[in-house]
Amino acid sequence: MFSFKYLCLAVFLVLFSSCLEREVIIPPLQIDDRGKTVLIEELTGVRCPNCPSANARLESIKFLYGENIVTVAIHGDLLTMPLAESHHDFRNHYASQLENNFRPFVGKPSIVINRKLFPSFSLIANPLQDQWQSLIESELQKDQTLSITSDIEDQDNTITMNLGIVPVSDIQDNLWLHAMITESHIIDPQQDVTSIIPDYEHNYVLRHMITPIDGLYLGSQFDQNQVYNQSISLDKNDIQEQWVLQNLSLIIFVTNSLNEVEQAGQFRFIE
Amino acid sequence: MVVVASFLVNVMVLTAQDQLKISGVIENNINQFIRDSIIGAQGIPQYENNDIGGEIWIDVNIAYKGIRAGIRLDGFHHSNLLNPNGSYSDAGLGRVYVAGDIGKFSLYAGYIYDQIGSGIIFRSYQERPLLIDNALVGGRATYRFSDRFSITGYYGRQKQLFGLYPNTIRGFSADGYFTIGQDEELTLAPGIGYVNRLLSDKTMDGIVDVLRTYIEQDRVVPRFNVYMGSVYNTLSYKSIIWYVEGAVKSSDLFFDPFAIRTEITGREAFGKYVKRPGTVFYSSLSLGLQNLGITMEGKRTQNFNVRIDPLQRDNFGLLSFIPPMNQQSTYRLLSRYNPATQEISEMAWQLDIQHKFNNQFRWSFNLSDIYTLNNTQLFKEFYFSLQFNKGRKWQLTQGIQIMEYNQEIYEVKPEVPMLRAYVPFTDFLYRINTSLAIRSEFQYMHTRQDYGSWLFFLQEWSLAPYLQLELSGMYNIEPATASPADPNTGEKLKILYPTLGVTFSKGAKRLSLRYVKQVEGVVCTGGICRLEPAFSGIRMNTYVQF
Repeated sequence: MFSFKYLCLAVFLVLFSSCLEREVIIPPLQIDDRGKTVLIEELTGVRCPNCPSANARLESIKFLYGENIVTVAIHGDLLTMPLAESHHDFRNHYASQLENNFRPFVGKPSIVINRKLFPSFSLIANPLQDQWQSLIESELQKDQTLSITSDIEDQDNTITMNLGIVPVSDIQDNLWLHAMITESHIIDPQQDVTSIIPDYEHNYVLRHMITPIDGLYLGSQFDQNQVYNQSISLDKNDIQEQWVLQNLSLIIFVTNSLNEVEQAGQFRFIE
Repeated sequence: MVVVASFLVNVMVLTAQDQLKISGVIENNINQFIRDSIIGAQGIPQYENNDIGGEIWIDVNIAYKGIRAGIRLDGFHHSNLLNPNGSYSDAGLGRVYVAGDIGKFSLYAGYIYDQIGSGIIFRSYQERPLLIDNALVGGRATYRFSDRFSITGYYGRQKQLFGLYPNTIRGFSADGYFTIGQDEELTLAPGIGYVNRLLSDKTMDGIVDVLRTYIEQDRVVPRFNVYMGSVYNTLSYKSIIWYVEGAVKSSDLFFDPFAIRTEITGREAFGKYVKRPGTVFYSSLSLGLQNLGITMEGKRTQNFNVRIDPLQRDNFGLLSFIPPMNQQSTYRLLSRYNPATQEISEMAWQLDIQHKFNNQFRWSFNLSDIYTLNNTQLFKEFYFSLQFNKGRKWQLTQGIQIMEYNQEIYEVKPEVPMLRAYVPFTDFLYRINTSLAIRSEFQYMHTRQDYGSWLFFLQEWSLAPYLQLELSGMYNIEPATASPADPNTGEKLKILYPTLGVTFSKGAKRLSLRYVKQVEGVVCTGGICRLEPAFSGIRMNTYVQF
């Protein structure tokens, strides 16, 4: 018993002996442009008090990676009812439908990155702001599979978008095309953690979808460097009066058979 | 799971004769989700598929010649406990342990539920309704120097659903018990505790990944170790019991949702990781006389958010438990607004008095006051109740709760006014004969904030000891800003949320079946808003102890 007691004491001392604290070095940010773009669908709402903080984070990421980041703010159902002070109602049935497509989600703010499910979180809509930049960077570091160009033609009653899709390598997969219209620089109230910000700038607000929610089927066989053209058009009656044309953007992205985004692009609606 | 349960019950019967003691508990919840768009019970997979979800815990413990062991199997199928808006399915080993005594040593290996002091520096526990299960998986050894002094050491990793966090916990406590004076009227039970959490390289990589996105002035250098210590004592003298505990922690990383960070764009936003030391002081003083009980509690908390992994949020990875400081009521409307413990800044005190005039008449009084260290009022409650018994025939309880609840801080709802509510209530129990009793509850909450005013009634019939029937309803009699509105007219709706239930009990077995409609609410904590959705459906709960 005596030796057992001392054995336990020895184990105790070993377990609780302290090591020198290693110094932690925080490396600088690495910015690497490989041509790949990332689509971020931000689940947000004017009544979501933590959304301004999340939006500030996304703005920083966009500041770092510029046009490689394509953002869409989805004001679906949760926490989106306009405030008493609001002049705009950002809700529409496209946003509602998309938000419901991303359910279940934990809450807002959450973002969907390239419509992918990442191992670090169990749902497609990720509320963990701490993870966002790393996940976006991991997507940016992947090889670009295709590029998207757009030419916008303004006709009498329609606006036609002539798109060119060029695979960087051969693709044997079903691809779908998606086209959205977003509006930026809308000044309207937004709830924050401690107050309502009266002159908050709302950017990339989803206004309209030109293609069906599930996308427009493009095909299943795509050869490297071959240009695949596709035209889509928008009836001008779908453009609401309150939208400021100069602040509209066309968001184009292509999804694969896993419904993951291959590439996305953002284009000025009116030059 | 059912096969395993049957097997275990058979083993129990076969081995009972060999002085092997087997005991256990089987608990099972089943929810049938029934969509109801009016109250907002929709949009999660369970409602869209008219699904059945549930959970089961099968807990079996054995004891044989001083050796104790146990195993618990946990199963989740389309469960909404982990995420009220999601569906979680998994099954596996929830707990396994073996324990025994060798001389003055008590040894325990496996999944440990324990705490040091009142749990401020370390508490591992299970809270099934919230799916909190932060067992320490490792070993615990206690050495008893005498009947009056012992030391306990812990080592392990914290449980994460069916896995483990990669970080290590080690700690010890030393507990004593002394008496003073010839008649031993004064007793002291002092103790000290120490806990160290060591982060793994993997966790540190995750932290560094976050901090590198901060600009220079917001960055802090994280450390692998956090150290916590506490000193506590329970003093008893005649009818007085005084508990006091002080806890400190070294400078450690945690998320402060109200700290301002500056983004690389120059824009400022709420919420960032900070590194600060923390303290908690807690004390309670009780006086227990023949017909009078008085308890006073006080607590001061500063920067004591400690998790096994600083990147965890909500109920995940909790290492410490700071006791709440308000009256815990079982009445529905009285417990509608509950002050969650604030780990970063809180000052709280509470006074509770229970007095019995005679066998027929008693009253109780509670006053609690909670505010931040910057003197921002968080919660204030006044509670008074009178109880009158006419022998064992009937019992009438009446009372009132007056409260103020800072919804802006507790639920992160900016610019909402302080919620003020007045809640009178009545509870009447009438025993028709020794086995048949009826009970009625009536509560009214008057408030102009949040969902506005509520009426709650409950009627319960008990046929002792087997059967209990319940019919209750919560009615939004005077809707306010947060109440659901008619989508066409915008008019606020007066909605009734009914519950109808039946409970069968026999010995330590219980089965309850309830049809429930429950109001929804948005709760924002730790920087994330979580919709606690309305519930509509049938709930079945079984509990079998053997």
